[in-house]
Amino acid sequence: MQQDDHTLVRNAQAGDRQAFAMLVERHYGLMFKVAWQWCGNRDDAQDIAQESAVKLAQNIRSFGFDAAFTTWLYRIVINAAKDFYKAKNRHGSREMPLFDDVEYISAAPDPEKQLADKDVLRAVAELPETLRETVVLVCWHGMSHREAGEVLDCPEGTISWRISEARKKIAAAMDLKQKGKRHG
Amino acid sequence: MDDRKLEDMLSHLKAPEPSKDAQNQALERAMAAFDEKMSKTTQANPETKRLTGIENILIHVRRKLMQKRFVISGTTGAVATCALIAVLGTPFFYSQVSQLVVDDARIDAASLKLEGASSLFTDDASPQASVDKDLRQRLEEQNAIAAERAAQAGASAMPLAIEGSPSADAAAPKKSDDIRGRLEAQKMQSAERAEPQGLAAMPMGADNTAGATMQVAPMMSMDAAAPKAKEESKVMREIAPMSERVARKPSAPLTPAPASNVMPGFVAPTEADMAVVSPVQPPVDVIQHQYQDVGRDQFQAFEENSVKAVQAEPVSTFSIDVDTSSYSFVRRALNSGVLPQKNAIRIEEMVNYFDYNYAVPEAGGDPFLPTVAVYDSPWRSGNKLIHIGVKGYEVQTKPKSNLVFLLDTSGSMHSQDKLPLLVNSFKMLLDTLSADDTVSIVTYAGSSGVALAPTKASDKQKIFSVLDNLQASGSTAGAEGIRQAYQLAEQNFVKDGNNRIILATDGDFNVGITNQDELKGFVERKRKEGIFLSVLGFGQGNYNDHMMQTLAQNGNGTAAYIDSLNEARKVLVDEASSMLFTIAKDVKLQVEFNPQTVQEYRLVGYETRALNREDFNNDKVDAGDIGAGHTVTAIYEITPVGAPPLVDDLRYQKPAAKAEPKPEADLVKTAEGGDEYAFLKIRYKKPDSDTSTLMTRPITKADEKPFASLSDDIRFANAVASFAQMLKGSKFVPADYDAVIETANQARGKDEFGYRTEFVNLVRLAKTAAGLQPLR
Repeated sequence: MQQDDHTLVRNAQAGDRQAFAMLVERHYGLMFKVAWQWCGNRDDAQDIAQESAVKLAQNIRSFGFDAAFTTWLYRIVINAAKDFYKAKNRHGSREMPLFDDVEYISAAPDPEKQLADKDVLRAVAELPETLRETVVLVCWHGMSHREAGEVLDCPEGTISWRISEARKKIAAAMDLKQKGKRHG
Repeated sequence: MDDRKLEDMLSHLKAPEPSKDAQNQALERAMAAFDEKMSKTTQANPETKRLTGIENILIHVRRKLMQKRFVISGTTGAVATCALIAVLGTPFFYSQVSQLVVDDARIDAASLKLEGASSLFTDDASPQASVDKDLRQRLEEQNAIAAERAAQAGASAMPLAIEGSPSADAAAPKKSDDIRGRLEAQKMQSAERAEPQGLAAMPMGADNTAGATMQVAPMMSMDAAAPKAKEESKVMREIAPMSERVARKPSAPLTPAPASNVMPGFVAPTEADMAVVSPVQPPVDVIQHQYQDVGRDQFQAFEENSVKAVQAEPVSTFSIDVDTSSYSFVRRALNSGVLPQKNAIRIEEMVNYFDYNYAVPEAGGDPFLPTVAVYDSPWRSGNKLIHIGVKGYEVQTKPKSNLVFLLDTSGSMHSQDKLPLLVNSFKMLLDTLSADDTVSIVTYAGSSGVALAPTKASDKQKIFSVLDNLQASGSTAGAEGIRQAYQLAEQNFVKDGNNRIILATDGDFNVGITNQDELKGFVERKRKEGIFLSVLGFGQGNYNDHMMQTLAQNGNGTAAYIDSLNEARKVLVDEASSMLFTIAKDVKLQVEFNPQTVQEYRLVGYETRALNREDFNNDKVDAGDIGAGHTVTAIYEITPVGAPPLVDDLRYQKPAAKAEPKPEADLVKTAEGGDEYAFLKIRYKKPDSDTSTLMTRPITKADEKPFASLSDDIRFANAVASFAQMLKGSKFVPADYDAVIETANQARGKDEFGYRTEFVNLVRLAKTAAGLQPLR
């Protein structure tokens, strides 16, 4: 019988290894996906997902059942991702390969559209951190502004503002690309 | 980039599949982290880790000891702790301490912010030798008692040990070797200044201190140690990490302590014993006395009705009360384990919370019929109860409604059980409305404003969007909001319809008219215009019940208290027609008792609704309104002639009736065989009328029935009335909760919505909460 998340968490909090393992297995895909959308490359995403799983283990006791488990999990992954890059940047390499494996993920059939998609992704990747995480949650995962606010721990209004700000920035970046192409 | 395009594009992008290896690796690492985390903390669940009050005190004491730096070695710590135990030595305390000792050795000290304390405590473990024999004997006894108790509880108990953790015990000899030399030197330096007893207690416990009394030792050592504190603490710092290391070392062999150090009959706990954490005492948290700490809930203070002699005051007059807010508030308090404050209990509101299946007249005639029963009082032998029940008919054709929602959006409404609950409640209410009813919304905070102009109830989207965008902030200009709401209701007045303002608030008005009398005057004037008012109360801690009652009673309205979505459903959906459609207003009851048959009477409840005798026939005097399907119950406790009275006859004033019986009473006697207890009169007005109609009915011995043969409704109402009076601390009702539970259980009836079952549970809660002081 399929146990729901809260039951599993409850059991895990009581020390049930099996329940915790099931939780991780069930949600690893989600953790990886959010991590990948946030950082745009597979290796880092795997590292972040792993780090998130470890954090999940360390903090499982502090889950208070006041929100959906996945909401809480999103928060863990996003925090893990931020920490990951903070640590990485301290070690020098600022460059991160962004959405390089986009070829095989873009659903668009023609190559030109694929390229356009890639440009948008790059624009997303180049957004400041706060805007990027908001775009990932709202535009990509289809969360409502309220849910995203819960994950990122800020008011709904802030999310709305960030989304509109992000749109402006992406649009500006795309315009620049278009102009560049026309002139080039 | 337009709005949808980004979403569309992104949602079409698929993330690459993570490699299986990476997933497995992540799982592996997570499991390792999980195991580590779980082994670090005790097996107990997070709740049991909460420190009890006593543990807190001990931790506090230890921390203080550390800060004062008079603890030179662990011995003093042990001595201090033991002294504490000796002073406060009850088995209960001791089991707490031993639990703490175990926890300390096991729980990561840092997580409890006890840096250094744990090392102190593991040090505590070793020096049994210095422990006074007296104390040891006492501990032993306590040990036996505790073990016995644990055995009774059927759980495996940790033997209580002075040693605390066995690993620490095992480590002790090693450690003492290591540090003895340093301590010896230290001791030499401070020898001259230190008190012999205090000093003797300081070094590692191997050398026994003859006759050092436990209570004295720590005090002495404190004095002695003070000047040397700095140097000693330096040594302490050096020792601490090392001893901690030793204590933690998992492989430390469990060498049995020397024979002299072992208490007779004490068996050193094995690893297996350690794995089983001793039965944890339920956390003895101090119960939050909500009204004392945060409570600014305001209730009108009133005294319970007293017994009246029929000779002196043969007539009792009161207005009906269909409010239910008292019951919900009481439920909320009891559910949090606290007895409600006495003024929160209005007995009639608790009784009237439940729906009783009294006889209902045909629509078109009188709006209700009185149901009367007389039965033996369970509260005082010889007494009888007169039960008067009234139920309004259900409306068949609902009149068109013009509703103004007046919503408090001030800062005080911020919490979850206020504005969000309010919004959900009103959404429910919308479902019960007909499509062509109109709804408008006025909100008030620092100022008031019309948030939604009159809108057809069918346009739900529009109404919902306004409700969803409400935010709580600012002060509360309640009076201004009420003014605007009345204005809006007047503008859209539906003739022959239901014009009603539904006010939702916590009653905390603080801008504009905040004086209740002034506000009362305002709504009094407005009610003449045919606009009714329903008041829904929300929240606790700052709930102004008095304000709500003032508004509802004077503004032709009813009050309910919404403590949960369930209650919102009961009031706004299941009983929406009672709340929305008034079928009779200014309903007054008057009961005249027959001195031939009744000596004394007492009205149960309705204290805040008492009217003067002359008010009954005066149509200008306002009284309670009754909605469609509303039930109202009133109970009188009477002492019939012949039963022992509470009020003595007067010596100097011969009762008129006895000296020369009234001719009317004679008439009654001849006509009815003298078996009338009382005469019931009810006055009411049709909702749109200004003149009242009178209903009458004698209450006779023919109405008398044995309690068990009465309907479930009447018996249940009796149980509620008993309970309410017990909560109120009544002088007339013995506090017998079990009897209430029994009666209520038997009279539960169909109980479709489970309210009666809930009531029984509340009585059980009150039974355990009853030991607490009623809060003020």
